[in-house]
Amino acid sequence: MKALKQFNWRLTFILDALAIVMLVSGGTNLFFAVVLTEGALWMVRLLWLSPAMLSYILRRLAQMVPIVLAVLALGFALIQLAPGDMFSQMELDPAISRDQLEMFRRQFRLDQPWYAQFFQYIWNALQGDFGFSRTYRAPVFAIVGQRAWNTILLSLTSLVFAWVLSIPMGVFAATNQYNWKDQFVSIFAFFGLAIPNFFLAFLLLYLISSTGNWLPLGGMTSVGFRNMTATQQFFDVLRHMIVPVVVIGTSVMATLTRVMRGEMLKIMNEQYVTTARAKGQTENKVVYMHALRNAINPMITLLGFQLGNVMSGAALVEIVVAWPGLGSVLLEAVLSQDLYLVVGSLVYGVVLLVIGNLLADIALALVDPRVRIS
Amino acid sequence: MDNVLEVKDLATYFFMHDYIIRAVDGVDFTLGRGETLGIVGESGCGKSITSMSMMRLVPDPPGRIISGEISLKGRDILKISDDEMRKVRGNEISMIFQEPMTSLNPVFTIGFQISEVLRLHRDIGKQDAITEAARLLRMVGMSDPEERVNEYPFQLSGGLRQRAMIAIAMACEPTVMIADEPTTALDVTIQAQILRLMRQLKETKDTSIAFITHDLAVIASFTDRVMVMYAGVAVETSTVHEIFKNPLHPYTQGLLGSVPVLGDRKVNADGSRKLLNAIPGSLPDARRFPRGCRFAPRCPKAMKKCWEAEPATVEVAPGHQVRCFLHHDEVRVISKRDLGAAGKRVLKNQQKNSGKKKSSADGSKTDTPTARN
Ligand SMILES: Nc1ncnc2c1ncn2[C@@H]1O[C@H](COP(=O)(O)OP(=O)(O)OP(=O)(O)O)[C@@H](O)[C@H]1O
Ligand code: SF4
Ligand SMILES: [Mg+2]
Repeated sequence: MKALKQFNWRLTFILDALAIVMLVSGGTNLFFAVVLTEGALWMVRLLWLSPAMLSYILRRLAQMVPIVLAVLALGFALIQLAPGDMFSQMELDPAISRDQLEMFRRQFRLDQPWYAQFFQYIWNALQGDFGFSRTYRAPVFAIVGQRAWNTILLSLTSLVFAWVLSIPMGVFAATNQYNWKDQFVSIFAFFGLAIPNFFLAFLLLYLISSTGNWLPLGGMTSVGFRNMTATQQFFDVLRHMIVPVVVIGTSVMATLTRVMRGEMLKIMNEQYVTTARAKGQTENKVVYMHALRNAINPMITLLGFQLGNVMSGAALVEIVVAWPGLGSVLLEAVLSQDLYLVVGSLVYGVVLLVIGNLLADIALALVDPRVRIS
Repeated sequence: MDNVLEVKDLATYFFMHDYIIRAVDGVDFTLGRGETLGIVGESGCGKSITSMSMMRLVPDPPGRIISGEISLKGRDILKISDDEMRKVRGNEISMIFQEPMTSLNPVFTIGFQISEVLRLHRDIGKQDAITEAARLLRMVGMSDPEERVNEYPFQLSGGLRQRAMIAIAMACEPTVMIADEPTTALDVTIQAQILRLMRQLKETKDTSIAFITHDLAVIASFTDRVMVMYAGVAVETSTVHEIFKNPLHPYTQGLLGSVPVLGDRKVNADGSRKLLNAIPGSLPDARRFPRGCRFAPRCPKAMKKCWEAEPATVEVAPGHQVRCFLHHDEVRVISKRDLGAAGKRVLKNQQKNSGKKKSSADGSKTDTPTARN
């Protein structure tokens, strides 16, 4: 038990490194195993530090239920309001007889009153069944599931990219306040904030194509993907990710850098920073231990909100670079009026957001004792 | 009494864009072993900057210690390297602050924050440092110290936090402790407890204390000697008994004006703040002090000479220094100060601006540092 309590940043980084090695060498299942173990260890540590967090997390999970139900109800209403149902399209198909259609409808209980259908819809949705996509001729779940995973991959990588750059940049700007280094970072951040995502995407694609196509211009995988070794596949996806990640990450990084800089400036004026210096602490420890540990908290709070931004930002960029994510599927679905697919992807997006927010809150509780204990 | 700390001609300026704030402008004082020196003066007169200068923690830029000598047990700490100065901070000179709410880091446990200073200056392991932290917490009068070390600042009341701060400040048994209004933010009963604790610690450890406060009652009951500051300089320094019985400087007299008796503890912090404001007028602008005595614009006894020259600090009775022409005729001779590159930059910006706006208020009666040096 003592060892679990001691679980710390160092062990986390070792596990992370291990997970990345797994991912690169193609052991996707092992990768998930390592990440889940890490998450479980963090949870154990959190609950060890403050058992009260368990009820907090359970409460948050309970709060998620009405949100998800409301979103599902909204989805159901949308589908009901639209004329026809998921089999209306098939009525035009001479190969399918009326009896067959009736059978389908009975199977999906479309002959029942709306409230029975409502509960059926929710029951199905909770199991991942959001109906049938007309354009893809496949269950929505099968389409959206893979797409959602691609979007998560892109969003999380962009967030990591943005965080890894913005924290040192923000700290650097704050500790060099008002001289040219600070100005430089600020201009850079302003540029990232001002330039529209799709424009930056086009600009990068143009630059790459005019300098010899040294990066793929779109998609997620190359032609011969299926025949590659696992490691080759990893690097292939990675190469396809660079443009969208830089595009999405830049705008997020711009905001985060500004927040980080402002937060650091505020914290560096706090009395406890002077206390740390008055103890004889080195300036590095003062900045990176005493100040940064406090300045990071609002960043984590922001993470919950940012997730929504990143995912909607990703939706646009996905379309530009043909990344097979929720964004492009949503666009296709809307254009072809594939209602079940629209609702399915929306519900998926909302659920991902809610879960992301919960994870951000848990992370905040881990780093801030005030949140954890009260 | 052997002096553990001698401060001579300490001057700390803030170099702003086109003006200089002379926050501390030539302060001298000494601190004997085990002695407590009270520092009083109205808000903005430079008390905190004096103490921050002693720690070499004045924010730079814009602040810089531009002259002086601070010798701690014979060693001038203004001349040592930054690394050596780090070994002094928290170890030989420590400091406690006014706001116990904000002077502890909210995300670390009390035990960690105490053990941090121990591990910086003592050769001690992590676990031993926590044990030692618990011992220190017991010493400053906290119950259940073994549990307290695992608590966070927000779980403690203001009084307990200030005790934790004192534990940090006393952890390495420093020679000098600087207390910048340590009781101002606390209510009266807690104030008394903290003062009692500090007195008891200082007597057992023989620590010298520089005690900054607005509260004359605290000065009367807690300190041995008093330095009265006005506009960046010390105007009068003497034993606490002398100051209350026989104040010589008109500013000190004004400060004490309506305090009933020496040692009357019923005067509370708020009451004494009102007393400080009882002198009509306000501090001169630290960008341009009057040419003569800095108190002249508010002094009821100002003479013609007071507007023309600045009085020197002279020991008029054993251990009683005063800076006023009523008690001597000596004019202050200010040592030449090298304002360095920052000073040149300010002068340049000043000249640039003076072309733009011709302000008539500037001029003959004031004494800007750039004009003088
Ligand atoms: N960071 C800073 N930048 C510019 N000027 C400053 C800075 N800190 C202090 N000063 C100036 O230095 C002067 C002295 O300030 P100081 O904090 O020492 O006053 P004080 O005597 O401690 O007042 P109080 O009783 O309110 O604490 C003031 O005029 C203030 O404006
Ligand atoms: S020198 Fe003159 S103006 Fe200054 S305090 Fe003394 S009497 Fe007043
Ligand atoms: Mg002060």
